[in-house]
Amino acid sequence: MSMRALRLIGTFFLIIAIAAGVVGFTVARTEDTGNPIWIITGLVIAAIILTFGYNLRPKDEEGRELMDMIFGDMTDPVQRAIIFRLTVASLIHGLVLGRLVFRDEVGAINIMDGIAQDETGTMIMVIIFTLSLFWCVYECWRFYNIDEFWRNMSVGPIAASGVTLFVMTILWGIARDYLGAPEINVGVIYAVFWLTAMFLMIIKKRWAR
Amino acid sequence: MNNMLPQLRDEQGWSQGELAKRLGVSRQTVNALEKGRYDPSLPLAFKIARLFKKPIEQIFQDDEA
Repeated sequence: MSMRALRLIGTFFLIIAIAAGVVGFTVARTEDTGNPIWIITGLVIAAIILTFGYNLRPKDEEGRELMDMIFGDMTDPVQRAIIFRLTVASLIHGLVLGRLVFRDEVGAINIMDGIAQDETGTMIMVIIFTLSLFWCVYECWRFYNIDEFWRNMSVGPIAASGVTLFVMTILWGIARDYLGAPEINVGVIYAVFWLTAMFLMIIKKRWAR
Repeated sequence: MNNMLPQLRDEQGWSQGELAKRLGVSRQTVNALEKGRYDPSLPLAFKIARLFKKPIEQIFQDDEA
C-alpha cells in the first residue's frame, strides 16, 4: 500500500475520531443533564464534520475510489438514499441505546403481576431498540445487494469481522474472569465490528481480485 | 483478466458513472472492472458484451491465454 493511500486512510480515521469525540462528549453531557438534545446536537456536528471530510476527498481517481469505498459514493442516488436511511436508523438506535445502557433505565419486567407504567416504558424502549437494530441490518443488507461487486466485496470482511468480534468477546470474558479486566463497554462492541469490517474491506479492495 | 472496457467506454464518450447506469451496477463496479481488480460474473459479462455489441472474448482476455 502506498504512503498516499495510508495517509488517506489515516485522514479518514482522524475524521471519524473527531466525529466520535463530538458524539462521545455530548453523550457524557447528556448523562449529566439528562437532555437528549445534546446527542442530536453532537450527531449534527458529527454529520457536518463527516460531510466536510467527504468533500475534502481527492478528486483524482485513486483517492476518490478509496474514500468512496469508505463513505459510500454520495453522488450515486441509490447509495446516498441507503446511507441516509441508515443514518436515521442508527440515530434512533443510538438514542435508545443511550437511554437503556448509558443511563441504565432498564427496569425488571414482571408480566405476571400486570404491567406497571415504568415497565411499559422499558418494554417500548426495548422494542424500538430491536426494531431499529433490524432496520440498520436491513439497510446494510440493501447496500450489500447494490450489485455483485458489493456482494463480493463485503461478504468476507463482514463474516470475518463477526468472527473477530466473537473471539474478542470470549477472550475478554476470560480476561475479565481471571485477570480482572474491566467490563466491556457496549459501544466498543459496535466500534470493533464496524472498524474491523471497514479495514478488511479496504484491504480487500486494494489487493484482492 | 485483462479487458478493453476503458477503451470501449472512451470510444462511446461515456463516463464511468454513465456506463454504470447503462449496466445497472455501481460506479465502483465499473472502476474495479477497468482496473482489473474484479472479474465480472458471467451474466454481467454478457450484459457488457451486448451493450458494446462485441463478443465477450473480444472484451475480456484471460491472462493465461
